[in-house]
Amino acid sequence: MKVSDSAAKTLVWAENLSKVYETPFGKIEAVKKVNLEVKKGEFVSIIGPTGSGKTTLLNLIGGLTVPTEGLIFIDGCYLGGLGDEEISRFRGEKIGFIFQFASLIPSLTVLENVCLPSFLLRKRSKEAILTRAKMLIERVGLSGNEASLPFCLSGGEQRLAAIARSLINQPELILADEPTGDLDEETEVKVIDLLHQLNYEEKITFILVTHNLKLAARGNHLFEMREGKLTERDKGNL
Amino acid sequence: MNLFFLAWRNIRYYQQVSLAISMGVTIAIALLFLGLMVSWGVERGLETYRARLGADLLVAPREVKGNMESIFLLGKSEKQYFNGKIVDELRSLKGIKRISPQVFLESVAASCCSAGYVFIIGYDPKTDFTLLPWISLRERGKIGKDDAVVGANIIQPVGFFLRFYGHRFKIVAQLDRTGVGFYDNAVYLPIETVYKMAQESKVKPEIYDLNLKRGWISTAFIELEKGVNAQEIEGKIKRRYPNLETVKAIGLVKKVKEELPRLQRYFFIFISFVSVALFFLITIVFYLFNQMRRREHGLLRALGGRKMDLLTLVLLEGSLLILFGSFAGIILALTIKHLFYRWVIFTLKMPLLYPSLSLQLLGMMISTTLILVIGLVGAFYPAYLIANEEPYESIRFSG
Amino acid sequence: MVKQKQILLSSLLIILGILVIFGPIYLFPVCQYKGMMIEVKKGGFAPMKCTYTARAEIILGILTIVIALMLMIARESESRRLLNILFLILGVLVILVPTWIIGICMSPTMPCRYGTLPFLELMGGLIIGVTLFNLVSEL
Repeated sequence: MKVSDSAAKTLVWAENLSKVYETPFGKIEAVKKVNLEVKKGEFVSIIGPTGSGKTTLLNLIGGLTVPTEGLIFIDGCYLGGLGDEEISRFRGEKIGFIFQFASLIPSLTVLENVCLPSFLLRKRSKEAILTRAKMLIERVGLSGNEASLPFCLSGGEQRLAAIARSLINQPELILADEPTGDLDEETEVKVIDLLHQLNYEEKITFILVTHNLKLAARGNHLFEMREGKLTERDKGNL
Repeated sequence: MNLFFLAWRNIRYYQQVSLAISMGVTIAIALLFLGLMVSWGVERGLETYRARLGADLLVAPREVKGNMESIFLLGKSEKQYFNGKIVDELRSLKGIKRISPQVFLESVAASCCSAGYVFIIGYDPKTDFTLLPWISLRERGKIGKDDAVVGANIIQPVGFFLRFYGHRFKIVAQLDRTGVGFYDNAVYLPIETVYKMAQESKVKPEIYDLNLKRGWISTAFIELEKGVNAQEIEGKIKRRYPNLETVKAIGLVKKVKEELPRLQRYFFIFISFVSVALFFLITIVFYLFNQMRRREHGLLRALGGRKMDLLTLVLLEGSLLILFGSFAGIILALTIKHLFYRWVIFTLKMPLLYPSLSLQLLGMMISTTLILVIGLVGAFYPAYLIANEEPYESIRFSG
Repeated sequence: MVKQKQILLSSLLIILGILVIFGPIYLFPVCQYKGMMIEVKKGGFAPMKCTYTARAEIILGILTIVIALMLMIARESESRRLLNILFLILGVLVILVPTWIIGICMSPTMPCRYGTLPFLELMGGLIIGVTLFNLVSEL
């Protein structure tokens, strides 16, 4: 599938994006003047060595950290102009996160974890939330584990639960930060297949950060991050 | 599911930390509440004691000098007697309105496991003015030679029989609690009967010799005429009877009363110390606890939680733990208060009468509110730090 | 998670066991340790009832500590339950020894009655309380 016609609407627009960290050992420029455009429905992969700034870029896009310089627009909305209340709501409604580590709340069951973003958003009824959560748990193949606490699940199952959770509020954009980093090959393929399936069937836009070139090549666009700089790479050269 | 639910689940999940915080609060609340109860209780006890005492001067043998408080407050009797004829002589002394003798039987501590186990006092029904006014007229009228009036600590109720030194006594009246051992542990018997028992103890082989001669007494309660200088009378008595010791009743109370502010000051220092310690404890524990869960909090923010949600969640967790701790603390304090009542009296050597129920409730509210405020102030800073951190910073933190 | 809680509660019970052993001797001493003995007719002194209660409590305290150590390392939930039931019995015994089985001095002015007895009742109550909490939280 190719979504490159100019009629497709831009979902993510980043311009001149920079992020500098102050550490006791001096300044670290994690992201340097990055420009990025992602259109609705695209599946974008970002590869790069450890410490190249991929995660920071993803967090900038998700509004989890503030850029030192530059602008980010998501669905036409300027993130820098939102207050805490608004950006929290915006995150809850528009963006789903899948992190590179076990990210379930340890005190909540799988079902409660999946429901959590919806309850924080306070928009839908309890019944509607529960119905959708159960449907999503079934969809990621975790039926029967609704009442389990995260520590009872394997790493792969926890990742699948996190995917179900990222979908609960029907977001337009999902930011997946090495979601298969610590999984075995079989589970890794299963998880990535699921992401592509969601992209294809529900037209959810994905930005995936990964080490795995083979998996990265399955997206519409492939970017490489090196020392904070982002460059698009031709998939044919892989 | 709401924040309350999430807080509750977190408390249950992090059981050890929750238990540790709650236990700290339990101990702090129990100490505070008990401190209040004792402090207020001594005040109330003193008031009741002064009202009950009725006499202005107490006379006792010289040998018991220095033990007056342990006798008249704690009810530890001394086996020192003086001739009761002195009472009749004193009665004619100008300025003395009423005088009545009492005799204390052998210290019960020495014979705890055999015969009597209470403080037995012989009183003179003809002249008494310290005991009988507290008993209703109906009961007063029917007191016979084998009838006993008992203090509040005696478990047998009115109508039951007590056995001392081979004699059987019927309980005809029970006094209200005063918080003073002298009254609460006492069994009052007519003085004539006590002399009879003492006489019999010389011949009955199964009873210890009480070593009390007929007509000898332990103390005399004196009420003075209005406007008479107690000091003057004391001087007269001491000059005339060098083997006697006198003590002003008000002096007994005064001595304790003077010590009360010291007790309350200690209590205040103690409260301050507990509060400050608790403040730091809660701040540090909450800080470490929340530091441990930084990623979890960052996640909540990433999933759409607002700063306010996070702050509320952390403070809710703190409040719930403090409330659980308070509940347990109050129950613990009520148990200790009840169990160690007499221990406090014997240790402080002060009369103690716990405050009324409404004051006790007030005490509970004061201690719980104080700890809740201290606890929440202590929990607020770490919560504020967490809520104001960029979610990415919290998430990056790998615990 | 279960392990850490087990260690915390076992440690609490060990502390209570130590208190049961030393409380009647040092903290809230029975009459003997306050220098009170019965004077017998031949001229010697004999300890009072409460002394034997204090000695019995030493044994109960040691048992509490031993069982708490066992609870600390017990793996099976079945054996933990059994140990908890033993604790319940111990807690009841800690209270029954001074009140019923052996008893203490009768006078309300004796230190064993106004000090040791309430202390042991409190300790017994706390052992029972901690054990019940343990049993309920394992359900």
